[in-house]
Amino acid sequence: MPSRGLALSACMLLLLSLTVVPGAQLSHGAWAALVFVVLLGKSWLISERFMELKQAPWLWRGALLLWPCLLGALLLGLWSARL
Amino acid sequence: MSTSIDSPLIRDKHLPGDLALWWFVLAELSVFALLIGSFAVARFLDPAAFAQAGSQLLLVDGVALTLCLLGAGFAAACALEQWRVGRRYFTVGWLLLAQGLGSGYIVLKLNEYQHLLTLGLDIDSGGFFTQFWLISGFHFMHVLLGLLVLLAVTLHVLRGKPLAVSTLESATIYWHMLDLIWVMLFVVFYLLV
Repeated sequence: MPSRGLALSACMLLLLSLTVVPGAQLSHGAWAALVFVVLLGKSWLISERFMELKQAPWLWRGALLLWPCLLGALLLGLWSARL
Repeated sequence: MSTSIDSPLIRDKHLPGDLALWWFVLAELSVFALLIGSFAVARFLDPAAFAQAGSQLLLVDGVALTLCLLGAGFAAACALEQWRVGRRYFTVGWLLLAQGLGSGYIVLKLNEYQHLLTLGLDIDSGGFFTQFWLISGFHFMHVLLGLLVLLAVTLHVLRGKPLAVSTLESATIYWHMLDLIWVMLFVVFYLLV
């Protein structure tokens, strides 16, 4: 059996993955916010729990969390600017 | 030596896997960042064409692909947990599940590629599809390599050969890197249309 933390992370990832299906009916602003939250939530769970960076030096944790933050901001910024 | 994840050894500031692998992960993430960034800029410059092309991809396909990859990542993480406490056959079971779900991703992706080719949407079908085929194809090749790595580790464990925890950590970290990149590609190709 997986540990409770790992099982909980998997459940949260499942929930976040399915959230976007009904969310597709939202307005542009709300949709962008939802996508950003889902993106960061999934990335955080993968890097902190699955990759076990929770116990790693902060520089490595920061590098792996910065990647989705910066890229997500760029994507959503350019996507919103065209509207 | 069996080491529980809650032991002090693991709780200390500790980078799992090999350090060299982490530099490799950073390099891979940088390459994908450049590819995804160039896609975002191209879409910004020609939003109408990208929106029309992007509507050819189905959200339900993207969600199914996501569940396969993340499910495989979860199974790989479970395999690592079991290996740390010395349960060889549970480790093999979780590794096989990870490969099964990873193979599911491959089948679904090939099905999607075939569907697009049937519609005549190949690598020459405009800016969106040129970059879609290049970026998703590049990620697809990485997934194939990840499956080979998991298979090699599984066979090693099945044969009863000694396997350092850091080796299995490195194999699973590579797979989680693919998860991390896919989460971003899912947003790029399926959500921000």
